[in-house]
Amino acid sequence: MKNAIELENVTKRIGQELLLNRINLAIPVGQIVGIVGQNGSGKSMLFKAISGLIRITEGEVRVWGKDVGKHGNFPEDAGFLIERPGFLPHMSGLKNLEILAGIQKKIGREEIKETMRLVGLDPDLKRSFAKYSLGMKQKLGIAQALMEKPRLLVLDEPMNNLDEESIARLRKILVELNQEENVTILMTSHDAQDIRMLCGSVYSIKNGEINAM
Amino acid sequence: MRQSGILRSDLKRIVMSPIFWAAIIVSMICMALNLVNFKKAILDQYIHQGTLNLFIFSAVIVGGGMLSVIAPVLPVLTYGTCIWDDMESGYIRSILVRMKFSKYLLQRIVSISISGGAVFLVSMTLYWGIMIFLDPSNSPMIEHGLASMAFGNIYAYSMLLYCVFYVVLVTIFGALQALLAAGVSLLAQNRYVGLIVPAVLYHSGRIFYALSGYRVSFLPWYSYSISDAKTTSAAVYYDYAFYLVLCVIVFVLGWKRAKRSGRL
Repeated sequence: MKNAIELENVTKRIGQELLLNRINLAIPVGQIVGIVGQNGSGKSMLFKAISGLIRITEGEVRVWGKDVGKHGNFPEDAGFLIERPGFLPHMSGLKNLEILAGIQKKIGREEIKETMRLVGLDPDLKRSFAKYSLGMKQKLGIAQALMEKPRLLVLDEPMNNLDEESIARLRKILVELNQEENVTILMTSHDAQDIRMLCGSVYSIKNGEINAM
Repeated sequence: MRQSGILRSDLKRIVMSPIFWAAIIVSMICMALNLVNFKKAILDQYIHQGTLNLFIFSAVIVGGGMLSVIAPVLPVLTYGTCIWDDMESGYIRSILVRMKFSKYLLQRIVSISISGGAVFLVSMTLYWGIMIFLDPSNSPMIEHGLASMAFGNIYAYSMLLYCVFYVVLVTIFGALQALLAAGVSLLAQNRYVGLIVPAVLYHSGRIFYALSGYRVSFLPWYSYSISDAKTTSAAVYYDYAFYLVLCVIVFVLGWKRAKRSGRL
């Protein structure tokens, strides 16, 4: 398969507001692609369309060649971090991830713990998610996207709230996943340095329209 | 792709929930209080009349006491607002990239119903079990008006069957109450409104009935009130049907509003 993600004339309209305007985009397998854009430019809406969380007004979204969003279909073999990481506040990070991993049963407790350690979280920490710092919450969101070892990662501002050391660690993880396991990555970032360092190609999005940079 | 979804973890969460067990204990205490009050009032007549009579007296006949006041709240506490909680926290996004919308909704509806119904199913079954230790003798049929009320034919046929049927009805009431809470919390986009409104509706139905003389009562206790000799089995079924339709309408409207809110 040539492309991991294919978008054809994807349009999203809510009332009179045009949030995504005829977006055509193909993300080739094995690439790291960056999308830059200001707040409210349509980045998160685009990622939601790719994840199947919203129903697009017009167009087609395909992930690994399969239609997404129609008939409630969700993308297979993909990990997502969209907007702020959301988890059940009264449960520990490990418990939250166990519930999510239980949906598809691809991995067990040990793999979850391994992923948590990889992103710099202590899986044995009993603290509830509500008491996590912003950085820890972000790391848990990243662990959630990585844990099932997907072939595609879609990460919306993954470096948000992370300290310098954690940012460096995440960059290294993403590069290794891409180079060693051929994982395709689509990401956004406010930090131009992240985009320059990590992404082979970059697109900008403004007022719901996307252009190659 | 092999998928087990969230139902199994939901059931585990319900059983492990301290709120679930607290609701069960409160429900049992209410029934026990009925028995204590009842014993004070007409001690000699009923106290040594066997397990089934003890259960019927405290859970059915005088179930209109403290239990009916608090019962509309108990089933919604554990899991009634879980869909809204998923949306508000953003957890739903992590779930829905792993399973189909329709499967998520179906499994959540099942787990919400179970969480609500199980509060009464478990508390009444446990309470019934305790009654066996109090007075295990055979229960003679006592004339207290049940035979002329809703499901009186079942009572006349078998007191045991009547008790089982009653527990099933109350269990369904718990399930519907929890589902209504799910719909209301989505519609109001507020978990506390979801927790309170089903109880307010239940009690306002009772108040409306008292004021107007018309029968708008949300089951089960009011319809079963011993003083309401006009209650028929059909009226009970109408109440349940009305409640089910109300749940469906509120849930559908709530789900549509929640989806439009952009929280997905």
